[in-house]
Amino acid sequence: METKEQLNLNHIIWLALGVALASLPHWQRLPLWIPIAHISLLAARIYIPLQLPDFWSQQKGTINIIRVLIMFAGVAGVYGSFGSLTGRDVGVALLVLLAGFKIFESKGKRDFYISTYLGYFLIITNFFYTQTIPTAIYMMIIIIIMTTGLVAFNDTEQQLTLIKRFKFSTTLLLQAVPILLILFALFPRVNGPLWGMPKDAFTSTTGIDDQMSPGTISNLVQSRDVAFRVTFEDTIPQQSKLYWRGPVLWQTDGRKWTSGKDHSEQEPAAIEFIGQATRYDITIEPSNKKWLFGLEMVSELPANTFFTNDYQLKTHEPIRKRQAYTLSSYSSFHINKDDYSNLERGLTLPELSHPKTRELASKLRGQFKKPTLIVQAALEWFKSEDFVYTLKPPLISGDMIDGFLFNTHQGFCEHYAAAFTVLMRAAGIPARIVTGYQGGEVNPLGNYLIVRQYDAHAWAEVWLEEQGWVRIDPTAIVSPVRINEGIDDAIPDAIINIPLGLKNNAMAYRLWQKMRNTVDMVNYQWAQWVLGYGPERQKRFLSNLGFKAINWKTLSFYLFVFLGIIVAAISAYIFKRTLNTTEPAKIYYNKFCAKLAMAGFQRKSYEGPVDYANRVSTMRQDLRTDIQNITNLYVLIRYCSKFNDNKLFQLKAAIKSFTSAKETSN
Amino acid sequence: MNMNEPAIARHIINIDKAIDAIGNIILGKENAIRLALTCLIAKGHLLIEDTPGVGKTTLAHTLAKVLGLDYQRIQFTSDLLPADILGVSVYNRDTCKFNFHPGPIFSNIILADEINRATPRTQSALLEPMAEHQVTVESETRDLPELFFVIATQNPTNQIGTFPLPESQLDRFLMCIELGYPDNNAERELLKGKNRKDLLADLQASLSITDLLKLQQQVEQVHVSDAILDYLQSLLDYSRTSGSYIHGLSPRAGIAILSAAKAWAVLNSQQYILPEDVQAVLPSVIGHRLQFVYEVSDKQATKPAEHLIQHVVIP
Repeated sequence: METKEQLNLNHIIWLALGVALASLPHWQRLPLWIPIAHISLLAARIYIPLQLPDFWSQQKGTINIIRVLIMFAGVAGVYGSFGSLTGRDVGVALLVLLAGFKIFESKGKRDFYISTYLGYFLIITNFFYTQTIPTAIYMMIIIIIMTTGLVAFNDTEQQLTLIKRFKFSTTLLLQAVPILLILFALFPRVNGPLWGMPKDAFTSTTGIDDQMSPGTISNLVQSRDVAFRVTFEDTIPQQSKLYWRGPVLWQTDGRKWTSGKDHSEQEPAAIEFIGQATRYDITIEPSNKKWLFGLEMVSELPANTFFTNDYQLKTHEPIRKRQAYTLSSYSSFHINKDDYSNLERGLTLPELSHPKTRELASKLRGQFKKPTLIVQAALEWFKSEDFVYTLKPPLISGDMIDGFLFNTHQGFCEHYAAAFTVLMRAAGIPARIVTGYQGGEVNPLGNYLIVRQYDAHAWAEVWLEEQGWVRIDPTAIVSPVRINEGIDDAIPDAIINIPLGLKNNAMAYRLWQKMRNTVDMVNYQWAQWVLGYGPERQKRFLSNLGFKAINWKTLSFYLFVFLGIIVAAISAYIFKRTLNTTEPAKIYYNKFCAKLAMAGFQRKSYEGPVDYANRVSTMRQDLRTDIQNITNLYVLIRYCSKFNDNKLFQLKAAIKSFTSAKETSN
Repeated sequence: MNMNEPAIARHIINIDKAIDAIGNIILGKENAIRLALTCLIAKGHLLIEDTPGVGKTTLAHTLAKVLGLDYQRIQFTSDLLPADILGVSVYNRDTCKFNFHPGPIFSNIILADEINRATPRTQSALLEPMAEHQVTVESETRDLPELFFVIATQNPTNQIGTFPLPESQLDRFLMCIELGYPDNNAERELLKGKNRKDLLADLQASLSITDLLKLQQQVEQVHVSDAILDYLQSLLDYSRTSGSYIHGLSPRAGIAILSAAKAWAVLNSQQYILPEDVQAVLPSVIGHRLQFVYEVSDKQATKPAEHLIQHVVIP
């Protein structure tokens, strides 16, 4: 069929607006030329017909060639930019470009619908990148705008004002909410490739890594991103006890620390736990790494995790989506044994490095002999020298450790941990660096702990013959505030993005803090209940509803039954509203109208029977007698006083035998 | 659709003649003419509203003449007084008594020309005659003839020198019709043809008083089905509950719609009302009673009556 409804400028502008807004968040992630091309195509589609009204109808051949050419140029450009035609970013880039092309060539009804669906699809793709509440709200708004465009396109008689169109599309969206909720709750969640994201979806996440050099952690501290959130079963332990253990670093080249050779195949030595366990749930943000964080020292491992022999809690797969796990830890513990190779590793230093440090170490060793006393003395030494805890230490030339210990005296936790470990190794005491997070911010609203990237920390562990591996945090000596109160107080104006001016105003600051807490709580709930609604949570939710031991097959069955009921209920309602009559004549007449509607003559709800009959008869002369006959009967039955059941019977028979397909016989 | 009807009665033939006769003078306005006659058959008063020069007064004159009733024309001006319409008592020196001299109101048809140019005081002198078919002057009530119509014309209220009719007064008119400009053909014929005044003078009455009375009788006998009452009530209900209009339609408006629709059916020789009949008379019956809450900004904005029709489902 020819598309008779030509698109007018108004429709195109709506369409372009919706699609442009849907692709807007992608622009920053795509090579610059793609958004430019996208916008140029939209602008061209709007601008060209203004100058050349007959552009699309004339010169079809040339235009087709141009269209094909720019299409190939676009695809080639994407290949050039990404070096591939698959993957998440490439897919999105192609989609953005193609949406531009489609609108550029749109001229009829069909094009309009295809472009609109492309636009809806573009909206979804934003969730590949971010799934926050603001994103969801923004996407909802675009859905409303796109739907308003659809409403405007179908409002051929221009009966609705702009506001009414918006109202209409908003109502449509709201009507979809119950279905959304049911689909969300019941749609089978499966752990499998179907739900996986393309590999390139997980890059550039910040977080602690298995290597550390000066500046690594102080860079991390600039970030307010949440690392994980913790809900304790009982009270939240003291700030100074919150050491979240992460990667353990052994190997150094004098500047950079790494975990060195992987010893994970060795079983870790048994830990002797003392006192009471603390139980807590952690929801970790995607880090794209394999570490889970737990309080020192974790006693029970969650499923699918393992301990390395230096007690790093690791998963087999990188953490690519928000994940929840439950842990229990003991704050007092003894690690009494370790194998020889680990102790050996804990003494290795690069040859001929750190001469001054070695000198100090041998001095301490000569003086104290016993390792416990040497550790004590070293910490005393840190206290007595004038060390400063700062985020922005001066640059050190030459030997890192010597320069820091004997020259600049200014450093961040990574400097202290590294210097102390080197000093211990030089003094013959096995030592290693542990990185992770320290502390966290309590959100009183949800009574949970937020650990952010700026809580990143590094400390040392030393091997003492009688006590095993013991945590020593030199930062605690230099800046006790950092450990007891948290980083906000230790380095007042360094990091945390407190809006200017708030600091001096106690009330405003408290208000701001409260707001921040509220926002974080909402996000936490969102993360737990919306984003974290995976197979596990779905199972728990459904078993709360009484559906125990459910698998995805029965779940699909329930889903369809549920949706079926809803669709049936809605249809019944609409059906009843259209019929809304007990009069048999009206019921028959509605059937007649339905037959004619199939033939393309929809009766308007306010159109009287005679008007309708006349309208259809003028267009379908072949049906005239039938239509007039049926209408006469109907009118007599419904509007005239003199009728009998015989007429009703005639009407029924006439409508039953009525068919709109007579035209072919002529 | 009148298959079961007996031979078509004389008065029906005559009304068709009347429509033709008026149509010869007012060119290309058959729908307006039909509506005007419908109004009179329904025993309602008629208001014709339009800009000067489109033939309002001619239509009023033609109607009066075709109906064969005696008629009086009153030109409304700003200094017209109630006594000029109703009549006045004059002292008779011979009998030493006041004699009542009836005003032009005492006739079958009143042509109230440019009614909105008179002051509200004079306008309201028409209230009693129109509603009660009687006149009270100097505490004496006098009846008006059984057949009594007011055909008023008015200029659009935004023109200079007009006193808009108050709603209570507007409500006395069953219908308010507009003529509008003639179409191209009608205009050409009008320019080529004779002077309308001369044509009017030659016009013969096509309907007798008995015809008119019979027609009015027939209106009462038109069958109103439940389906139509449902539809009418839906219309009234929508006008009151939708929030699109300043005031909903009053019960009196509902009655007016029904009787106009019945008259329209008679004019089409039907003995029952169809939804189409209601729709046909609705714009002129409620046009002057229904207003939008807000002005729709669109140029092609629908009128309230059309809006109402399009939003109510025919049950």
